[in-house]
Amino acid sequence: MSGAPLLDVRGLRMHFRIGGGWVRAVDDVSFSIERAQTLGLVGESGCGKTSAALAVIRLLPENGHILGGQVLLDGIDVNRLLPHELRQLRWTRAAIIFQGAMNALNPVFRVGDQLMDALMLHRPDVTRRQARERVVSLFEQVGLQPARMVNYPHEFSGGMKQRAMIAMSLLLNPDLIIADEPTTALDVVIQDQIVEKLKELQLQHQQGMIVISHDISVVAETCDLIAVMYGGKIVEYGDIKSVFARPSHPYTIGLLRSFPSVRGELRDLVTIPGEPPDLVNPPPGCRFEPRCPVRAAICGREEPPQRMLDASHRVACHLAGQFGPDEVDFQRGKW
Amino acid sequence: MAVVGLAIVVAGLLAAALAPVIAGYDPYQFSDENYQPPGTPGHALGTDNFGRDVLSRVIWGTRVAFLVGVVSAGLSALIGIIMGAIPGYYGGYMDDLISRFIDVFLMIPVFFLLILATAIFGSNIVFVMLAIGLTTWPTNARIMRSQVLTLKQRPYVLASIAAGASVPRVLARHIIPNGVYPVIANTALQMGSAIMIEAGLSFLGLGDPNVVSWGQMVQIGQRHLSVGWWMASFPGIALLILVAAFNLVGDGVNYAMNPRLQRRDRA
Amino acid sequence: MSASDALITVRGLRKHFPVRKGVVAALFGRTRDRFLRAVDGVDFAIQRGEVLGLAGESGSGKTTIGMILALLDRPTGGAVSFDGVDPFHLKGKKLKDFRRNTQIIFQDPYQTLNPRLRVIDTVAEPLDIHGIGRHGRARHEMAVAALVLAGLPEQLAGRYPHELSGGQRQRVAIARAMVLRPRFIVADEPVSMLDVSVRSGVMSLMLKLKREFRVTYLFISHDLAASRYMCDRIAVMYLGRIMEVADKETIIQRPVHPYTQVLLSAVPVPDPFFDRKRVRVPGETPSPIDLPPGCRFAARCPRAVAECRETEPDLRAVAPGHLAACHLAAPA
Repeated sequence: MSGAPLLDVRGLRMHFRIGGGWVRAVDDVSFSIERAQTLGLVGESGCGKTSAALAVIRLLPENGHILGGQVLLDGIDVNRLLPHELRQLRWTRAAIIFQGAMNALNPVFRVGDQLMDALMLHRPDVTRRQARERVVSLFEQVGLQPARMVNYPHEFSGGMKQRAMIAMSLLLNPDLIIADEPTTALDVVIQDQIVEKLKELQLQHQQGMIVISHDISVVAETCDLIAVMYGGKIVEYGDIKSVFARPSHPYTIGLLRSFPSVRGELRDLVTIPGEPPDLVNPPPGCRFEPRCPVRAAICGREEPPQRMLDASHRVACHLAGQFGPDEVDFQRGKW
Repeated sequence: MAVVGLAIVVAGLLAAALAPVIAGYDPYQFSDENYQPPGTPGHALGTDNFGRDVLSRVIWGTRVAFLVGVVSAGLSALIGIIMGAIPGYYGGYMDDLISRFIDVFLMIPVFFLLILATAIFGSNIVFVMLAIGLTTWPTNARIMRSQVLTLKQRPYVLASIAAGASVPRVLARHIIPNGVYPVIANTALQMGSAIMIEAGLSFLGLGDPNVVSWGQMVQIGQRHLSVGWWMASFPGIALLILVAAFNLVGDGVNYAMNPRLQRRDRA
Repeated sequence: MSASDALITVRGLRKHFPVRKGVVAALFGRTRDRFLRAVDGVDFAIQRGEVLGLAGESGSGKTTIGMILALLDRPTGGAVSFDGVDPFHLKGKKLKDFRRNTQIIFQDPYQTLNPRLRVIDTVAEPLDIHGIGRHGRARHEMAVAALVLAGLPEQLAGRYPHELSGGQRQRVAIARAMVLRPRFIVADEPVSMLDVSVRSGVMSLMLKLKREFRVTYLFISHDLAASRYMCDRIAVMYLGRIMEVADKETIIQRPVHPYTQVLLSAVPVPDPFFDRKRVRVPGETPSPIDLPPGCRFAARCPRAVAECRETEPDLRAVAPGHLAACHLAAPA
C-alpha cells in the first residue's frame, strides 16, 4: 500500500453566484483522508461543510464553480476529469448518502428493484441475476432481511430506508463514502444502530469516509479526524482526540461548549453571540473576528495563517497558543 | 405571459370605463348605413344589419363583459370561500353534508341549469350574473376547503387558538389569507368562463336583449354571416382575447403562488 | 414536594385515535374497532416553577400530551387539573380567559409564524384577543417589550417572518408565548429544528424567563442531552405510557427501567475519549395499535420475564421521588 492518502484535497475553492454577487462558500479548504479513516466536517449552517464535501466530487450548486485547488482521489485528479470520466468516478469510486436520503427512494418501485436498477445502470455488464445476488448480499450487510427486497418504500420504517440508502451507496464498492447528516430524522436508538453499522461496513471495506454533521457528538464518536469549518474556511483541523483535548480556535472552543451532554459534568452552555459572516462580502482578516472574544487588532486586518500545533493538529488563528480554552469568555457578548 | 394577460385585461377595463368617450357612435343608434364592410370611412370595423357601428358596439360590449365577469366570479368566490372554509374548519356532519351537496352539484352541467333558469325566470342581465355566481361556487368551495384542511394544523394557527382566538378570528386572520391564493387563481379563470357562459346564453337567444353583449352580437351576426362576416367575427375575436387574457392572469397567479410557498430560508 | 405545590396534575390520561378500517375489511363486516393508543394511561404532576421533561422517541405520545395540556386537543379519558380547575369543562369566555395561563412553543420555526403577518402583529395578537392594553399604542409597546425580552432587536418588529433566521423566528414564538405572562408553557421540541449553534441561546433564554417570571414548563424532547440541561425532572415515555420519572441526575446516572437504560446508552456523547457501553435491543419500536398484553417494552427488553408479558406494570415509587413502571424494579 503506497503512502499516498486516499483523498487529498488542497486549497479547494468553490464559489457560486447568487443575485449580484459571488458566495465564497468553500474558500481554500485542505484535508486528507487515508483508507479506513473517517473525517468529520462540523460547523453551523452555511459554513460550507456540505459544499466542500460535495465539491470533492464536483457536485456543485447551480451557478457554482470550482475556482482553484486540487482534489486527488486515489491519485486521480478529479478537477481535470472530463464529464464522462467524472460520471464514472461518481458512485464507483465515491458515493454519497444524502441528507434525508430516505425520501430519495421512488415510492412506486420496489426497494430491491431500485437498487438492482442502479447497479445495472452503472455496470451494463452485470446481469440481472448477478445484480440480485449483490443486492441480497448488501441487504444482509446493512442488516435488512433479503426477503424485504420486494417491499415498497412505504413498507419500510425510517431506519430501514436509511439502511437501504447505505446499501445503495455501497453497490459499486466505492473507495470513499460521503455521509451528509446521516443521523437526522431518526430516533436515537435507531440512529445509534445505523451509525454503528456504518462504521462496521467502513472497516470491513476499508473505505474512507467523510461525515458531515452539525452534531458534534456523532462526530466525536465516529470520526478519526475533524475539520471545524466557519465562514467557508477550516478553522481547526486534526486528530479528533487532539482537537477535543486541546481545542485551540475560539470558535471550536465555543462550539464544543455549546453542546449539552448526557455524560460528564453539568455546566452552563456557551452561546456564541452574533451571526455567521456574509460570504458574499466577508470581512477582511479573520472571518470569525467580529464574534471572537479574544480578538486582537491584527485579526481584523489579516487572514490568519494555518499554524501547526503538532504533527496532526492545525489551527487558523493569529493568537494560537496564547490563550487557554478557559480564557475564552463568550458571555461578554450580546444575546 | 401573465403580464400580457394582465395588460389586455387592463386595456379592456379602460375601454369599458371610457366607452362613452372613445366609441365613436352610440351603440344603439340605428342608421341607414347597414351592412357596411370594415374599412368604410367612419366605420373601421363596419356596421351591422341595423347600421350600428360594430367598433363602438365592441367597445361598449366590454362593459357587460367585465360586469358579468367580475360580479359572477366575485360572487362565486365569496360564497365558495365561506362554504369551503367553515365546513372545512369544523369538520363533522356539517362538512360531510356540504361536501356531498357540492359533489352532487358538480355533477350537474351548469350551462343547462342556467338555460333552464333563464327559461323560467327570464333573461335579465342581473339575474344571469347572479345565477352564474350561484352555480359556480362549488369549485371554489372545494379548493378553499382543501386549503383549510391543511392550514388548520399549522403551528401558527394552533398558537393563535392557544392564545384564545375565536374561530372567526382564526379564519379571517390566519387561515383564509394564507389559503385563498388558489381561489384567486380560479376566480380569474372563472371570470373568463363567466363571460363565455353569458356569451353562450346570448348566442342561444337567452341573453338580455337590452344590453350590448358580444354574445348577442355573435348571435345576430351569425344569421347574417353571408352578407356581413364582420358582424360576428369581431365580437368573437374580442371574446377570445379577453377570456384568454383572464386565463393567463389566472395561470400567473398560480405560478406566483408556488415559488412563494416553496421558498425556505436557511437557519 | 407536597401535592399542593403541583400546578398541573394528570391522572389516567388517555388519548385514543380510531384507526380507519380498510374498505375491504369494512365490506366484510370486520367491525371491531382498532385504536391507536397514543397516550394510554399517564399520571404525573408538574410542580409550580419546575421544568418537567417528557422524553422519548417518536410514537411515545409526548407530543400528544403536550397538545392536550396546551388545550389544543381533548383527552379521550382521564383527568387534568390545572391549579384545581378542570380546563376541559370550561366553555366560552371562561375558557378564553383560562387560556391566558397556558401557552405553547412549537418545533418548526418555519411554520410557527403566520407568513403574512409582521412580527409585531404576531406578538401583539394575544394582547388583541384579550383586550389588554388600553389602546393600540400600549399594545405595540408591550409587544416590542416581549421581543426585547426574547433577545431580539426592536428593529425586527416590522419585518416579515421570511426575513428572519430560524433562531430568530423561534425567539418571536417565545415572545408571543410570553406576552400574556402565562404561568405554564408547553415547549414541544423547541430547539430540535434549530441549527446547533443557535440552540444553546434559545435554551438559555427559556431558562432565564423561567427564573425571572416563574414560568412552569413542560419540555418535550427526544434529545436527552438537551433535556438534562433544561429540566428539573424527566419522565421517560414509551408507546403511550411513562416508564420512569425522577429528577434529572437520578434518571441519567441511576436509571432503573430497562428502556431508560437502553435510551441513555444510545445517546452519542461529544467526547472521543468516552467509551459508551451500548445496551443493545433488537428491532424497532412497534406501532401503538394492537399492542400485546403485559409491559409494552417486554418484546424488546433484555431482562423480560414471564410476568412482564402478562401484566402491565404500574408506575410505582422505587425511591422517594423516583417512579418506575417495571416488575423488576424493587419498590421503595
